[in-house]
Amino acid sequence: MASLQGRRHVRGKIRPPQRKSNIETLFDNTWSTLASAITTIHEQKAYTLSYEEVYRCGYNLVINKCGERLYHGVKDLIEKYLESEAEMKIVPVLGIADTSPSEGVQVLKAIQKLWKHHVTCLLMIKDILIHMDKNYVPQSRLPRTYDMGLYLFRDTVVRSPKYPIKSYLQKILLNQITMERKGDMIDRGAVKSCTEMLLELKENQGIESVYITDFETQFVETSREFYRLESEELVRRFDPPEYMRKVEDRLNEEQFRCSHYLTEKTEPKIREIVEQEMIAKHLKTIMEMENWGLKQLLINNRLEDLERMYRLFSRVTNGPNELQVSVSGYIKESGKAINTNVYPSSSENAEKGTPLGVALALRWVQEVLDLKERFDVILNSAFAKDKSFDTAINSAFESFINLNPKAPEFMSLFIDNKLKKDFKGKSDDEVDNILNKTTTLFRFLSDKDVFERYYKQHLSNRLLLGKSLSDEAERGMIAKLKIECGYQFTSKLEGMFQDMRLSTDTMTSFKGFLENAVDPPPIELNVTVLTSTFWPVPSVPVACNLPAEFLAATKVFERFFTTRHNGRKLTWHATMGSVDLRATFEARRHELNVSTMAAVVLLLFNNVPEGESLSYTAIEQETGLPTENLKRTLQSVACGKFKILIKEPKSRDISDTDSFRFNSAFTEKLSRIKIQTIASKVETATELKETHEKVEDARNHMAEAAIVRVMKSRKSLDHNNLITEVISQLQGRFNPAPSMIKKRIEALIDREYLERAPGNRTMYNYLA
Amino acid sequence: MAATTTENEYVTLESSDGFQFIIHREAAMLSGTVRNMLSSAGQFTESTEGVIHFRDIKAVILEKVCKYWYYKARHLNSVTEIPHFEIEPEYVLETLMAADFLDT
Repeated sequence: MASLQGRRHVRGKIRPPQRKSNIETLFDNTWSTLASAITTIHEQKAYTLSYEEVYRCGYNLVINKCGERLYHGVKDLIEKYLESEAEMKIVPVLGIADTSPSEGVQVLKAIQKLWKHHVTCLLMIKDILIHMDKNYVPQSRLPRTYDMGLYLFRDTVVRSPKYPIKSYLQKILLNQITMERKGDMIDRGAVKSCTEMLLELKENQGIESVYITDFETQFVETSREFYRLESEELVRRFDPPEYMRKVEDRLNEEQFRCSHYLTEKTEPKIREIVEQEMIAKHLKTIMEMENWGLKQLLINNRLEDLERMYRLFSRVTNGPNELQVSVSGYIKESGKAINTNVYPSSSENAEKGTPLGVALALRWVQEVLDLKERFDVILNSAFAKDKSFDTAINSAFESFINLNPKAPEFMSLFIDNKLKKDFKGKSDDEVDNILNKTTTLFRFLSDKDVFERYYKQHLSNRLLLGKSLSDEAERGMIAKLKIECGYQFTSKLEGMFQDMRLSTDTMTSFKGFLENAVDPPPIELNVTVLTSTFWPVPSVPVACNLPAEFLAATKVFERFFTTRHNGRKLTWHATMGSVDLRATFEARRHELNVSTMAAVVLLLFNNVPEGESLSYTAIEQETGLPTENLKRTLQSVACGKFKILIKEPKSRDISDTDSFRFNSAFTEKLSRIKIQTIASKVETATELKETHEKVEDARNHMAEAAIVRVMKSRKSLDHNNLITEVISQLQGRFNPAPSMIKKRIEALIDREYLERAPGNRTMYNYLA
Repeated sequence: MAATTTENEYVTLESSDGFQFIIHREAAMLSGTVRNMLSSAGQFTESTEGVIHFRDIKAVILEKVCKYWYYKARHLNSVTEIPHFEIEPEYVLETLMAADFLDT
């Protein structure tokens, strides 16, 4: 229009058109066209409209500064339309939800239908009013047509001030979800489109959607209530494995729900609720349930259920912690059971010195190993190798293993037994496997020095009596100990092997020496030279009067040895050797392999006429053996499996009044007989005491050495720091008590290694 | 119907004084208004019939506009220097108004 008028004017002169007077008529005309167009759109008859015409109306209104009236006119129009639609289509169906909750979906569908229709219309209205959106709306800071339409829907339909649509909508949605939770089928599509609608509707100026304000908060609340009741009921009705399965199903279900017809944003919130209500609040109940609680699961190795428990508990903050506490509680409990199982019977039997003690030691270790193995499996397959669980399990083992004061001895005995017997015919891998497991138990020991002492004892028996099955296995074990405790720990054990090797060499050259000797010994002699610091030998050898032939032989060897190694002192230990004897019985000859002490005793009977006997005291005098050793020796030859001597009166124990005679009627199928002294068994009470004294002694030395080491480098240090340093140095071997260290410090002050700093009682100075 | 028109290569523009311009749909779509007209979800008469009647634009101006669309289409992604688009001074105002209306 403007252009048509403009052209009448003189060329080159451009004048703004003057149409002020007819703006009102223009507005009335164009607005009525537009309004009817919008109504047509609402009636879904947009195809009858000419876009150009409607657009031109909008365009003209805006360029003629009627933007505001246009905008509000459109707004009013849409609002009225929505209001009447809500009244006609939604309000009538609201009643259905009251009568039958399951039919509430009808309301959802009605709302949905209006929503869809509204959005479609809105898109068209937005298209025809595009000029207004681009030019009028931004400058007057109003929401664009489309957003304005959404707000209208929110305020006139969803939050209608006239009708309780909002509360119905909430109630129905929540109802539907609760119904599905209870196992009913619902129309997910309807729920989904409603939640989508709510998501699409935004708060004014905000990114927050109506979904959050009008639905989610309520949903979270009702869910919490639902799961609070549900978990209480399920806990009452089902055993833990079943309960946990149900919880897991619920978790999956909620996740599925969120991703399918709610929104991902709700998922963490609802998950947190399920976790809190169903897991966190029932941790203890689940674990401590009588029937199939954690304990039964552990006992029966229900890996799958344990894994589920771990998985579920890991979801809540204090879950893993509680689970660890309970698991380690169970370990300690079963550990104590193993301990008490072994203990009363073992102390009883050990007094008698029966091999049953060994069996018990073996059983103890085996049971601990089995327990450990079971928990390794559980850790690996149920607890996902969780580091913190590993630590918890290990510390539980540590605590109960160290509750058994005999643990170091038992472990050493176990290894001893394995190396002597059980490894026969086993592959290297199997051997390695067993040794590895034992090493893991060893790691739990706090008194590693006690173990070392026993191990040394047992190793020396194995080496000297040739009982070890495989050198390789022995070395393998030592290598493992070395890895665990370092060079210092195993240096003596390695020295023992070294001695054995050197002795073989020495014997070869001794044989060569004998070929040229003037006075070869009357008997064949095999000597093992031991370095006294490496081996657990008594510093004073056990007294024993060797027969003349034996003495002669030792003299020859001494002569040979001093020529090769000047300045070394040889001490003969009869307690540790063995002798091959040839004995003639009535039936046949036998070769007897006995301990040196037994040989000394048996040889006495060479000088006793047939049928006569020797009294205990006579034997004691002749041999000069201490009572303890003599009794054990006599027991092995007179009361053991092979009765070379006959004891009067017959009984299992030796007493001072007994007498013995040679059993010439002895018969046995094998020609070579090995008579073992009762060895490597659980220690008797006195021996135990002795060992403990020795260990105590060694500990004192170690502590003093550590104190001196620390003080030497620090020159002066206060009491508390010194104690901490010393403890940290000694921890690898045993757990020192501070009081013990204090005593050692005082001893060192007495011996003038240290002094108290003048003027400060808590400081010590090192005296060079 | 909808399918054929969208696929239809040409669109007919009719001026206020009854002249018809049959031009490439693609070129016409360079106008925001025409684009809305033809692609709106509303399926308005223009999009079903393929004819757009501009009741406010005369043939002289509409021709100018059509030329401009082709001119723009040709040089849209051009890297060489773009030649000047000539508009006779007597049509400048009307062309300007049409351009605003058409969102071109």
